[in-house]
Amino acid sequence: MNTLLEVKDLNVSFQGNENENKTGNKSENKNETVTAVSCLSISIREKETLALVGETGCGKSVVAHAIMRLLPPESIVKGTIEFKGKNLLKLSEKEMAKLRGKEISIIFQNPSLALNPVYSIGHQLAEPLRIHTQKMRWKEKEGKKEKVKQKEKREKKKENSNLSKVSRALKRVGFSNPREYMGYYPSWCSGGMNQRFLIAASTMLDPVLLIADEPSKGLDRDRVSELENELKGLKEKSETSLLLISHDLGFVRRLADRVAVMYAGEIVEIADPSSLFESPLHPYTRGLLNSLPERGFVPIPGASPPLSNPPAGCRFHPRCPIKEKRCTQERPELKESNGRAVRCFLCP
Amino acid sequence: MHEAAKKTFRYVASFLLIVTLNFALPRLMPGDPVKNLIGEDVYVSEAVMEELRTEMGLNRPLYEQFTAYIGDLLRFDLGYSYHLHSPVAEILRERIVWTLLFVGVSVLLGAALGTLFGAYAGWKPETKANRLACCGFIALSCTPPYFLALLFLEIFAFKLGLFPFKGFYDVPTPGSIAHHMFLPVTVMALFSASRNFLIMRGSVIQEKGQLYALYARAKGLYDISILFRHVIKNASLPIITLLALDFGFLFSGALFTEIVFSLNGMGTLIYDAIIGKDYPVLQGSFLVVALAVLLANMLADLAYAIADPRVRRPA
Repeated sequence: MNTLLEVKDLNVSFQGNENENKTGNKSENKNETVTAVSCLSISIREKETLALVGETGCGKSVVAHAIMRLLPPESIVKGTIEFKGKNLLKLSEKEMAKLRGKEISIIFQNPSLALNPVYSIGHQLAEPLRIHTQKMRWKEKEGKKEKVKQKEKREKKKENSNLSKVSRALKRVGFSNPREYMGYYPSWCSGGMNQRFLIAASTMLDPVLLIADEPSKGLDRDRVSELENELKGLKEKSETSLLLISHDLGFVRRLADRVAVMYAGEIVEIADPSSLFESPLHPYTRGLLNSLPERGFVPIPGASPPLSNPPAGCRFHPRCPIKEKRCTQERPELKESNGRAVRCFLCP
Repeated sequence: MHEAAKKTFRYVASFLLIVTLNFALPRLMPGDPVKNLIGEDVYVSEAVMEELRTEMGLNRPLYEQFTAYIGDLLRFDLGYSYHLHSPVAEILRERIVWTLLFVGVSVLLGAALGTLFGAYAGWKPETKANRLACCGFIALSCTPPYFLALLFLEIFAFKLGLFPFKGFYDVPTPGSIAHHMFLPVTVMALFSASRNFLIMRGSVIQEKGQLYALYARAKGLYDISILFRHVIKNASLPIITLLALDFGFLFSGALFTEIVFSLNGMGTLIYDAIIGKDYPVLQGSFLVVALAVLLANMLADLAYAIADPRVRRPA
């Protein structure tokens, strides 16, 4: 299978003044630079699901936003993000806008806020269709001038076909009477419903890459399993690759083809889910798994380091139960063996 | 339906309160209206004054005056002005058309200009042009409208001679009216625009940071089309309130502007009535202004239900 997305040495940092960045880490000093993501390399193959897990504030969402180039202007992004052979970081905003929503889509973690409160669900779901077909219509206009009446007819037809596409998408995410829901507004619906609207909107144009940023956050068990089925169905029916960002490990285990564990802006381990969950290598991964309720509920001692001032050496060493002297001085590299990768001196 | 009934009750209650206040306020003002009507330099015997008082109903007990007032109101009879020697309702009908034209055009123009410029200034607040515009509009909103009116009159009418000094028209043709209205409408529109600009700018700055704006970008919209397709509708919701408030505010602001430009609208009518203690005219015009503001608020209420689905429920 071909590689669809290749992220190499991604570094994202935020300049001082804006302290409320996506990492959620608030630094006390106003002029500090917060490095939310450092030297991150991941790749996603076609039709593959890669999960990015880690605790809140480790930079997962920043990676997602960096790939879509949605970070605020005061962020500094370095490295390369290659999508279908193109470096996304070198594209102009206009070229990037053409990819967004069509080739790469994102599902945000807060569905009720991501939908515009004053437009109807139908209107918002049809929007990707309108945006990405309009550009083609411009080209047509340049080529030959159509008669006004014909054009009107065409537009009506287009609007109708948009509506039926929207209702089909709504049916796909489990609404049996989509026409009714298309006239609804986000504030009239529950968070779980909005979540499904958002999924329908983001997958409207069958993107090649779908980024799901904590899609299960704030949903109860039933909704999570429904969401799981929707994402599974999506993977089976279309050619979509999925970048799944979550801290719900059970959810990740059931969906992902590969799992990357992040800690303090770095990837510490990449493996397929069964080997990761059965024989975790990195002490952080082990700690993470031990903190699950079904595995004894043992928390990792201490707290994650501030990203404005990460510890020297291995970033996990202050909390590591098996640390040695060199862990506090040298920074370990991500070592690959047998299709797994781990960032630890003490792991084989 | 329950909500609608509540709202109707609230409006009826405020209407009754307005009517009562409107009756009480002119009677609480110092001075004797009869003396004022006659003038201070003419001596009139007590008997004649008493006769006049009886004729105007001013010597009866307050509650009788009040019931008479309510009864007249129901017959659309707002009384008779001794100063202007004609029924108040007729005077008001004649004057209000002009003020409505003047205020209405200014409010709409100001809202349109202020909203558009404000939206753009909020979208790109860091550019030099927008910073300059912001300073300019803050200065405008701090300037009292009558001062601006005087300044405009001095520059454009006296010095440059481009516009007439006073009145609504020389001959009642649309061209002449437009020529006469240009300066006062510009002053009031600028003043209204400055308020709308500042509200809209802040509102856009706040709304563009919302997640739905980022999601609009993630859908493939970029730059200014996010503003027009997503942010502007949310950001302009406070403008509806401001429009309703502005309507009342401009009526009073129009008073000074009307005096400066010698326009015979509601403003000058109220001003003359206060100076001359012309009770019936005062009561009548206060009632009309209060009703206009009440109506504007009601319209704003309705407009919110249409524009914002959050105050509506699914049918």
